Amino acid sequence: MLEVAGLRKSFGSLLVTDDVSLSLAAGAREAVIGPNGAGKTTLFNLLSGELRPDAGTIRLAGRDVTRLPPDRRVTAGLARSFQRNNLFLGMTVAESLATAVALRRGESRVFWRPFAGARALHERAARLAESVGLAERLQTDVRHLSYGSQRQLEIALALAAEPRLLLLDEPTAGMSPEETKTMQRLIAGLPRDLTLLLIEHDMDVVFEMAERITVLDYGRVLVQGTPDEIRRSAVVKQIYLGEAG
Amino acid sequence: MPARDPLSLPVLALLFGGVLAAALFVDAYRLTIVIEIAILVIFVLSLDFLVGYAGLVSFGHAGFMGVGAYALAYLAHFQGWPSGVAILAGVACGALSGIAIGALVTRVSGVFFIMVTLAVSMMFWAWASKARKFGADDGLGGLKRMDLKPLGLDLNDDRTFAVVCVVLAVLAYLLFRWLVRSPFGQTLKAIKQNENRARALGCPVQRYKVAAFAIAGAVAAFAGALHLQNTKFVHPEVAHWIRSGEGLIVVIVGGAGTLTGPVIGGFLFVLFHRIVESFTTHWQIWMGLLFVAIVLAAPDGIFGRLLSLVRRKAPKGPGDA
Repeated sequence: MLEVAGLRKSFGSLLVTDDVSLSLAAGAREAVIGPNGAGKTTLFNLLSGELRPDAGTIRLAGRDVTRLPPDRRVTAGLARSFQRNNLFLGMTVAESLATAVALRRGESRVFWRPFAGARALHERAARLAESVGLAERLQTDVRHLSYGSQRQLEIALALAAEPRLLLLDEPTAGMSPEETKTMQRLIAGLPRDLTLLLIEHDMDVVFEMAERITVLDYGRVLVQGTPDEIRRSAVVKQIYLGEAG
Repeated sequence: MPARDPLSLPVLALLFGGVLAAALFVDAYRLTIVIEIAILVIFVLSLDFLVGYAGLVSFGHAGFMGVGAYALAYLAHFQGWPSGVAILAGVACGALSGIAIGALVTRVSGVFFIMVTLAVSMMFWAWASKARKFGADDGLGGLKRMDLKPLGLDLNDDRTFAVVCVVLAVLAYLLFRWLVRSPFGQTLKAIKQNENRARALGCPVQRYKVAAFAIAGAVAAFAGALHLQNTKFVHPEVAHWIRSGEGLIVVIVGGAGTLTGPVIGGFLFVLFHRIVESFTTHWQIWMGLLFVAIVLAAPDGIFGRLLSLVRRKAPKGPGDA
């Protein structure tokens, strides 16, 4: 589903992504971990097209998307959520989701019918809200949602794009233990044919969700392997989990 | 959502109804006020579509008025086209220049966007000020109004012309209301609220911005053509940045991002201008002071302020917890 080869990006003299390669089969669930500043979010920004790499290629389902702008990559089947909530704060939950659905279905160009009367869009929006546990909040203004609910909406928006590959950037960032549990269940319940790539700080989440883990440090791939291999890896213990481990 | 705005209908009925009644009954001097209000309302509605809905704060919107007016003058006066056809051609020119200028200026944002829109519109003004064919900075008179005699309308009669202008202003309002409530309008709002997120949902943001420019440009060009029809005179001043600035003031004071706000703003602007002008030649000082006072007292504009007052009193909906 995703083939990344030799990806490189520097800001000035600072090399933030250094020869990163990744390969995700369809339906794979993988995670990227690494200390702060390891280049995880930069890697996501390169994958989603917000940044252009200096070198390397990104292939999505066999298609070279390295040069495509972000919106075309979404059409090609890649969607992402953001580490910091990145929402439409002037809309209700229903409006934001229906807007996202309209974009997915090419109905955002429709100017001859009212948006509020577009039944199909709003029904799909309601189902999306339900799938992330926001069914009760449909008519709530996004800015009045609790932080945890906003994180859930963040995922629902990405799902509205009906991606084949979903990038989740720290879905549990800033959440209470309870909210983290909810989010974990939500992610575990995503359709099995959806390929997932996850950045996460919460190691419990990572070790439970991911089948394979890539460890980044200073922009380089340190180790790739199964959760067990990563747990046992001496290098990872030393550099990432701390000297004490 | 309509349920959240109980004010628009009564306010608009009052304003449009009042202006229409005025068009029917007032004397010749006051008729010029009515016409001025109607044309300004069309202009600021198109500007509000850009500023308040697409989030594109253009400081050069009067340039499109210039395009509409000069295209009409050229085609009708020099090429002998019937005025009606020439007006439509002027609107098409407005849309095309909206596409061209939109494609250029949406590559930059923030202050640069404002400056580029200003610069492009002033290029048009500079050209018009030197265009001998159009009387350069003296302007060109002797232009004609549209001939609607087959419809039984004599536009050379100012009262008829005023009524037609008011009806056109109402139609412009309905056009934009229809657009902003569509999925297309909703997408523009999404881009305005969070461009980055809209893009991450697959939205080709720039194309939407260019489309917004084309629509706003077309309607502003129409306002320019109507302005020419009113004065029967074309002058570079129609495209001057002061007009763009006045448009922004009207939109902001009235309430950007609402369509009712600019209608209120346009109405008040012309009335205030005419009243203060009769006391002092320095009317712009008073306009400036009033602008500052309103922006301080009502950051969302007059209509935005009214709406939030009404909403605070009204019981909240079940989902607003």
